[in-house]
Amino acid sequence: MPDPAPRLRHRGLRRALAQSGVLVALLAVFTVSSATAGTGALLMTAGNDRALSAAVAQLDGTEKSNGADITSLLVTADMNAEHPLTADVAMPVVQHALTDAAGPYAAQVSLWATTPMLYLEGKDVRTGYLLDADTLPDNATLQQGSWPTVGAAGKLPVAIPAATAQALGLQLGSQISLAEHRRDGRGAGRTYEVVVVGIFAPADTPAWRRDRLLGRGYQPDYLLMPTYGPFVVGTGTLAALAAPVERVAAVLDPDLKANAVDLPPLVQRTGAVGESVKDTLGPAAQSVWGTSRLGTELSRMRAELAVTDALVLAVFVLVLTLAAATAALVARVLADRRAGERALLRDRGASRPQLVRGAAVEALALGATAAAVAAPIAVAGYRMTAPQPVVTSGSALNPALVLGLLAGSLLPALVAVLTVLPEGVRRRRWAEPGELARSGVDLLLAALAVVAYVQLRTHVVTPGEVDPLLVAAPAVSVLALVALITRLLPLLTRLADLAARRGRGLVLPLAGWHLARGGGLRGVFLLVLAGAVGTFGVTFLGSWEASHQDQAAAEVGADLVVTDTQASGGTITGLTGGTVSPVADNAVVLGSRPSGVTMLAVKAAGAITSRPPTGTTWPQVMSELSPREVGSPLIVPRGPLKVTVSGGLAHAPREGLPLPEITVTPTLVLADELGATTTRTGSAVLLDHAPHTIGIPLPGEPGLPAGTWRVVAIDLHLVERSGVDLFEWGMESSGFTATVTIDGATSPSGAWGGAGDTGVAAVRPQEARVAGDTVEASFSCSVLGLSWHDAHLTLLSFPASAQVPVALSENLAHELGLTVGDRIGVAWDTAPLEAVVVRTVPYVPSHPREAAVLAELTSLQRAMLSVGRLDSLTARWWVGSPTQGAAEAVRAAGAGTVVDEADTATRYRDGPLRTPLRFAWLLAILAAVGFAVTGSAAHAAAQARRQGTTLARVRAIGASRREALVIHAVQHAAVTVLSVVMGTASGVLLAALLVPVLVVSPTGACAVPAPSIVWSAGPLSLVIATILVGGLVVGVPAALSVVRRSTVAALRAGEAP
Amino acid sequence: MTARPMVELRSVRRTYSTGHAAVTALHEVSFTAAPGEFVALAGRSGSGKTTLLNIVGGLDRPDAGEVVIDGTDLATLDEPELDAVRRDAVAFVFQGFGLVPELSAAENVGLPLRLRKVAPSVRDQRVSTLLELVGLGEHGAHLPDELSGGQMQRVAIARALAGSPRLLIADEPTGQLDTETGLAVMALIRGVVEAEGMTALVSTHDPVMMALADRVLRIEDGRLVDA
Repeated sequence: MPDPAPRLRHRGLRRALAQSGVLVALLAVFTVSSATAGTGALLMTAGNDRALSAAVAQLDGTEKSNGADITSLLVTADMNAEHPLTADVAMPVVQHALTDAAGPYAAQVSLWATTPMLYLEGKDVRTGYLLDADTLPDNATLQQGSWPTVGAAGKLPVAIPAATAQALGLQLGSQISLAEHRRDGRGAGRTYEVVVVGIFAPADTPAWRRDRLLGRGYQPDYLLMPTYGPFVVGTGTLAALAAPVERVAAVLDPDLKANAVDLPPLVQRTGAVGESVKDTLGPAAQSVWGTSRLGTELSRMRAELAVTDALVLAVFVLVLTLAAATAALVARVLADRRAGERALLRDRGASRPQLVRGAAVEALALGATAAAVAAPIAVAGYRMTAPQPVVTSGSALNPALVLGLLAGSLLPALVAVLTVLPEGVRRRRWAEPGELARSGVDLLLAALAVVAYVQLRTHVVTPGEVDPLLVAAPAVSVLALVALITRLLPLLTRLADLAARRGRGLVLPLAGWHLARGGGLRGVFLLVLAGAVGTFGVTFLGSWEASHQDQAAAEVGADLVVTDTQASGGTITGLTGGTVSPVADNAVVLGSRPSGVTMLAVKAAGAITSRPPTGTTWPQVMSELSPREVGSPLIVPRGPLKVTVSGGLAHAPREGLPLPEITVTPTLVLADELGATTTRTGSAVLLDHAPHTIGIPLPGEPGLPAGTWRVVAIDLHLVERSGVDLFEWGMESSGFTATVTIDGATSPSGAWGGAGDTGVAAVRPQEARVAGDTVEASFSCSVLGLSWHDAHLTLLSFPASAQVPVALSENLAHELGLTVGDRIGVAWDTAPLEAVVVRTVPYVPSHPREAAVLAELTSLQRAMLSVGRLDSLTARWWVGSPTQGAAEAVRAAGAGTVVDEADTATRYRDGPLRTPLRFAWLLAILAAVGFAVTGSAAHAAAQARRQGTTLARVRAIGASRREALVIHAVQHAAVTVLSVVMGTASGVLLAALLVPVLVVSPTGACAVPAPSIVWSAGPLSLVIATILVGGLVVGVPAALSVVRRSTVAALRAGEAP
Repeated sequence: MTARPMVELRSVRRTYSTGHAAVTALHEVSFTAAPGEFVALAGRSGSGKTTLLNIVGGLDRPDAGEVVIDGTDLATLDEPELDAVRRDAVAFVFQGFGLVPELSAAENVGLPLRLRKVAPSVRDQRVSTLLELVGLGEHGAHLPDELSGGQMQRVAIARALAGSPRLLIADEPTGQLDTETGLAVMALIRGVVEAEGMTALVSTHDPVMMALADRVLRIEDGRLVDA
């Protein structure tokens, strides 16, 4: 008897070949699913390490650039200790402790050691101090001489700041002694004889925070004494001298070299280094204070990564859902093809468990094959995000990759098996349209989606953890929405049926009947799902990127921000172009809220480039906050100014009264063209009715043209210095006049306002006017009070008012229950102002998510001047629409630290911690298109198979080949178009609902400003068109095939009982 | 003057190729059927009955010979013209009824009228008349799987008559019916043929059915044995 095996094998091969198209489609679905899950697993394991390392590499900075990786340590000595702390002991201890803390990272340790205050020689009591700073050349510009070296015997070579040299009248070669004690104007105890070898200008770097005088060089009242310094000695001098130190300020600057693995231990060690140093130095160290942003930065990065992970995971859940739906559809096609075979097997005694086992084994084999094929694809996909190694160790694959591959292939395989289970084993055919609705599963999904949506609206992401709500919400929502929207199908089919009945011809009605009654809509669920995912994906991605751009803009406030600068507005304008605005920014006390409120004041609305509140613009907002009165400032000529002051008692004093001797020191409050103010003070003159002319230089001379500056206020510092007893004057006020003339100044004539001290002198302005170059004022004050305490009269080029119109951030207004028109006290430093709420804004630029107040700079300045505060409020400069290369120009000119909004936006959008999200969405969109087209092809093939006999019958009664073709094509086109339309609508609806709650900040907080939905017309059209055209095109072969096969043979096959 | 035959076959041959072998289904078949004649085609399964009917109905083409229907040689027609013959001159009744399962009885009957784009009101009237004619006036809204075999075949007959064909071809119309029902269907065909004056070519292997025919053609191994 011949061996039947070869025949059976041959038959099996023929069967496989006959079904090869469907089997390949199923394998492709499993493979795509597996590769996607594998890529996702890699992104969330090896990819996370890689992203952290890349992010850590971007931290790389130095103390000069105020890098985030800086760890600093400040040791202060106990000056009353029995054994004072000396440099030779303290500096090596600190050095070694920090080097050890750096661990595997190469690190630089910078030490700045400062001696206790020393007395400078001379009659006056003055103090100074020595500084041993190893990074001085990095943080200062040598103006004269050379940097000091370690001194040999004799005098110590020192370098001093130019301000110190000027204040002490020192120059290169000058010698001076600094002593521990002072006795009869001479040094006693340990005395350091120094010689000036260099004069430098401190750079505007954070390193000078380590200096006692912050690099200013001189402070008249440091610890109540005039203090000068630092006198910088050569590196190592203090240790060589075993000099007592009052403090050692150290900075650890590790080279992190894109290595995130050792970062957590580093954070731990740097956190403990202070304690270790304190233990080593013993009681000589009064305190050891360590600060490091590494831990904070690491936590932030992990929080950002967790948000990215959650969103990436959500994307892959969506892809797996799509894969499962596609597998179900393709599996049904396969099951239809095998219906006869299955019936035969059942008839010949095959049990249901046997059939299930057979299907499971086949699916498992396909799944395993798919996983094997998908492995290199997943690795390649992962590598597309960055060319980094994937495999963790040896030759073993990453376990997460293996798990992802298997999960990605076996999940759709399981769905496929469940789909093709013989009747009786499975309870329902989920792929049937309408059955999902009848089962109530869609309502359950909808309920879950509603719960998820409500949760998302008020949800707070736990930092550093993958949020399950973010992961599940998109998939649940899209499934629910698609399931609900397919409830429309019966309505549509009824319409199709009605139209078919009323139709006259055959083609369209028959197509309509097939759709309505013939299972023509079975592929709709997948196509709608894919269309929804594609549409939602494109919209989410576009909105996500736009929102992060918006968030970066809100975080920075302007295109460029220049801080830590002494440069004038003119200089900044020259370097950057664009709209430049001075900006004031300060913590304030608002009403009863003790802290946590920030007030921002901006002059030029054009510099604000973050997204304005809905329905308005920043210029509109700022115009509401601007002062109504223009004011009458004096426009002054090129400096130095010739200022003439006169005035005195308005009326002769009662006879017999002792005459006061009142001097006035004028201070001009000058505003430049950009609205930034500064002050210039002249010398004191006697208020004796005689004109006294003094010279006052202008800032920025001599380069600035006339008219650059305007005098917006003149402060008169009144001092009674007669030294006689003025008790007889009593406390009543006396009238005074004061006139200030600035040669060459011009002004629109008008009234000025005034403000005076309300202390014992009771200065009260009465009337003030400006005309031409002269301001005339009358005021009253108590002469006796003035003899007790000096006082100020501030003449203002505008009406005095301490009120500041403000816009409150909505969260602050809500918290304090403030509405438009309310007034509330606000303290800027100690200046008591009154804020008038003009409007609320969703956020205050550069302070998103904070309780903040926005004001117009001139309004704030006027209020401050009205309470006698002359300080310049400019903290930084904002630049809107700068010229290209402006940031580099500012940096090159050393004009300050620049924050570039574009850099921040790039970090937010494209930073290594967020790269996976974009990649995942692109993958998901591609998968959606691919699955849609695959599903469409499978559906078309299944329909062609089902309709072959019907079309043959219709042809037998006289329908032409063309009519038969059109019948099938119309059905397929109708299903495809309908699905794409419903899918697009679902995606649009889903985006409208979910984008506002799913687009969050990098750390998972609510996005500020609230994200707006970006309908990216180009990419959306491309995705929709690809699904549509792809879906239509793949139906063509099936249509041609079914018509070609609508022959007598098909008729006979259909006739078979 | 002799009336032109409705069906005239001259030396028709049809051969099927199956792999390397060739099977001749019809050998030099020739016969004629006059207008209004009810011709039964008898023979065993596989004798060539269906092939012959398909060729007569324009569903299949012979390899040799001529097939003339109502004076038109089908061999000279291109595919659209053949479609027109099937639509306007010939109607089929299949053994398996050949109904479109998604359509109701009335909708199935109306299909040929839709092909001719008959106005819906006229179509509905004609469908109603035909369903009454075949005794299914109350079953117009039923789907095929809601009808019995005999009812389905009646629907198929009604559909065949809808286009007022000149030639009715029925391939074992009683093959899936019990004897009583089959006889009723055959009687129905006989009745409508007489009523409509059309030619009928009906294949069957049931002698009782053959008795209803005007003439019986016997076919064996693709040859007419007593035409």
